[in-house]
Amino acid sequence: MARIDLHNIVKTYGSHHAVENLDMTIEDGELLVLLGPSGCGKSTTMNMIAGLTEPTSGKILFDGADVTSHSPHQRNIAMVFQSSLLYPHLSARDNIYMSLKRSGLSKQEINARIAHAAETVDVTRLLDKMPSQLSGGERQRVATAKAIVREPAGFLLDEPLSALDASLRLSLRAELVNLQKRIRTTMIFVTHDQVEAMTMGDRIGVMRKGRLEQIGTPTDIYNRPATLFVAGFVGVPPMNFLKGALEKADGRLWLTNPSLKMEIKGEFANAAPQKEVILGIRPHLMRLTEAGASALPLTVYAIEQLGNEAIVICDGPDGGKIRVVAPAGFTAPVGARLDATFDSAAARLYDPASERVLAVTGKA
Amino acid sequence: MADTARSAPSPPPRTAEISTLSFALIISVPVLIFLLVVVAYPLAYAFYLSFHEIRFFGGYSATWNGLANYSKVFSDQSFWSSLGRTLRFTVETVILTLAVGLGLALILKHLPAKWRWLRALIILPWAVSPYGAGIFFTYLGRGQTGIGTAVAGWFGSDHTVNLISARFVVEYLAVGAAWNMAPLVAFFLLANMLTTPARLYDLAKIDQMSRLETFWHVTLPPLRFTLFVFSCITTVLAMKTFDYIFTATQGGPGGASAVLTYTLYKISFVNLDLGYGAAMSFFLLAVILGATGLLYLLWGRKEERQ
Amino acid sequence: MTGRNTKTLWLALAVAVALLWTFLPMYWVVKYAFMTKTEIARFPPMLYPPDPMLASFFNIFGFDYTTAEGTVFKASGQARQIILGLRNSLIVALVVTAITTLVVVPLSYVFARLQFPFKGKLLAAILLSVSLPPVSTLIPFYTLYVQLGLTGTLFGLIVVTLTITIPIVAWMLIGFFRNLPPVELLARVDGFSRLYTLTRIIVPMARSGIMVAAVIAFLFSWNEYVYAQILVTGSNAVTLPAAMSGFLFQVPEPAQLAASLLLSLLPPFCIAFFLQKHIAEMHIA
Repeated sequence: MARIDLHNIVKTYGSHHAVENLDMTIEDGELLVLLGPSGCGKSTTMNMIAGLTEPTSGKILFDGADVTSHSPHQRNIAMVFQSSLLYPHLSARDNIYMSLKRSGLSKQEINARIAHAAETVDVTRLLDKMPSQLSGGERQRVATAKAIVREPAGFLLDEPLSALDASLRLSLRAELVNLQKRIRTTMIFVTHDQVEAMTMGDRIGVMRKGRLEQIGTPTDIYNRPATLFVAGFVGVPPMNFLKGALEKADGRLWLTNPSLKMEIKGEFANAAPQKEVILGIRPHLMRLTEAGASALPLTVYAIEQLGNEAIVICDGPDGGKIRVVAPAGFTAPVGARLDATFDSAAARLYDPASERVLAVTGKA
Repeated sequence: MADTARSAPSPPPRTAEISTLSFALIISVPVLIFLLVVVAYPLAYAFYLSFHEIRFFGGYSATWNGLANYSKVFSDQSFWSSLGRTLRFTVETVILTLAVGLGLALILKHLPAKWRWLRALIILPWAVSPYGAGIFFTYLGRGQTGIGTAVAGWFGSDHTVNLISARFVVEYLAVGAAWNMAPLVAFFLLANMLTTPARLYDLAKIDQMSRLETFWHVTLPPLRFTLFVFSCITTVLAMKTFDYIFTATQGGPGGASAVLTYTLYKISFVNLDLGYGAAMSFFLLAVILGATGLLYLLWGRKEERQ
Repeated sequence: MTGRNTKTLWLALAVAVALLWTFLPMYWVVKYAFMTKTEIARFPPMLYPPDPMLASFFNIFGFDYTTAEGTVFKASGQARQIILGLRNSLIVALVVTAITTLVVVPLSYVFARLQFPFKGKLLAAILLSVSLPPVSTLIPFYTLYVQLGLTGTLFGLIVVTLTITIPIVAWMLIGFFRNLPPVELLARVDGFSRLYTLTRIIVPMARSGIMVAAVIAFLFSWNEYVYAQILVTGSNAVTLPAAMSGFLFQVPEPAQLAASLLLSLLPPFCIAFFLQKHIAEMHIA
């Protein structure tokens, strides 16, 4: 159990920058999820925390002590690899035992720990099976037992659930979170699945192209995405985007585009006018209405019935798809004209050049 | 919690992690040096010999004669005819080996479970050494002892039917070489076939493909890479082969099966013209590398891209 | 007749053809081992031994054989060579297999699993040596061995045979090792050194592949004839194939040739028979 600090970490492979100037702190006992598309540097970051990959420059501290040049074993980290990698020629028990083989513990202590770890994740009856005899979920549990048996300073998981089917993933997700809270280990979880990230993380670090785009609690990431990328990547259905210009008139701020003129209220009311902005609004915050001045004209493309609600996918005025959440059972023929409105105070404004949220000088 | 009461693992000893490079070097350098000595040295020595005239009569002597050995190869009628026989033998062997291998694989694939043990019999020719295959095929083909005469005998004829005739000896030898090598090809193809999803065959049925179309569009495509690899392997083996031809025909009848390796053997070990033999052996090496390179360019590159 | 029956019939026919193709060439010669000289010389050739007997097997090991009718088949004059050849072939094949395996396992592991400079070029060099025709390296080996006094020695033969087995087995094992799961990562997290990882984790994991590789080394060595023919024929280091060729060329003895050939085929056949399941596991690179 440790607090982990990354200071200005850089990793380059030749001319390719895998990770750039990364600063991050993982608190003691926290579950941090590293989220991002493949190739964003999240696995590289995890491998550097583990000690499997040496950073090109920068420092890694465990509880304030520099461990940058330490081996994974010296850092006392445990790791679950993709598809819950196990030694295929060893039984579950021996796989777990390998974690302690180099620990210098007595035979008795080792056996006690293996029994305890196996019990913690409920694999006691599987201990004498070979990995090939285990199901995907069982392998995952054995890999977890192998990891926690060391009582590690940090517990790292590299997409351990990605190869499993959906329902199993759902239950193992909760199991892992529950386990992490029980043993209170610092845990870092790498995934490209934003639902997994939202449901598991105390905090989420969203990465893209080797950079940390935003780090924060799931609520924070969902409600206040700092960049266009985070806004589009996190949340189901994804956030809607509208292009437009910000103009000042009558002392008020207006978003205008050929099909819409809308006053900007709330957080962004004091933003500086600029020619091009992108407005982001969650589908849940939009309502289908009668046509009106500040309504957005839409054409129905498809409707997805989810049981508790319906998602209406529409062609928007500027060509992009706009999703609106409607009450369950809502129907409309494909190609029908609809209008939608939303409260501009709930929307986020982004600068298309920097792809970051607009700076605001003060509250309205 | 309870865990905190347990003793923390003692700090592990600092192991000096050796770098990947040094680990790789420590492991591979001794072997590479061995290979260098026992492969590169002879090669270098052959290179040296190829620029000299070597005499054994009246004591060993090596006289520098520049490129004379090489230019002699070009004007040597027996070199060109041997090369022609090597190419003919190789092309026929490769085609026959792949075709027979594919045929055997298809049969093995369709065997019902209780006949699976037949697989273990079909592989056996692969375990026969080339010299053994040579012995088998020399007796099988010769007019005196061969199968041809025996079959003619059944029909009441007392003709000798000689399969090892000057005209078709190369073809006959290619059949024997294919007999020797095809089982391995069949086993790899079979392993490949078993991984082809059965759904694809269902799809072919839905599309109402004929048997030939199914074979062509479903069975064959996943095998193409394996076929390419084995066409390379078989090419190299067919061009290198010496013991098989040596025991089967001794280059006969009348030199009709004197492929390049056999001609080389005669020059070096019967005529003891080591310098000339060495020079010619580099032509053989070039032909082998050229042929596999050509195969790669014409076929392998295409398979890799897919 | 139903479609299913027709299918079975065709399959049975195909199997019969495959078995004929597989066994006819072997049978044609192996039957000589159970026949007398006169039977072999009959015209047209006989399809099977009319009166099978084991005389040739006694003869090649230096024993006279007397039939029930009192006909005596004299021991072969080559018997000493055959016995020596059998012994030497076994020694050479076992030593070559052991050395090849010991050397090639770490080498292929390094080439298959680690990234380091010049890897591609070194690999190309190894593969190049696979395509060297023995006839070309034979000349230098022969002259070198004459100078070093290594002709007619087992040591000399072992060294040359290694040049055949090492590259080919390395080539096969590299493909096999490439397809193992990345357990080195686990091993590093568990705190094992590279050497421990290789010897105590990778090697046990790759048992089946290594076994096939070893067997292939044995086969190549056991079946090697070109080098043996030139380097050890007629000496005390003669191998079985070289000894056998005495029955083929000098004074043809088809019966004794067939008997010794059958003898030489038994180990490879056992190997092929029991390992055929694993052969295709060797992924080709």
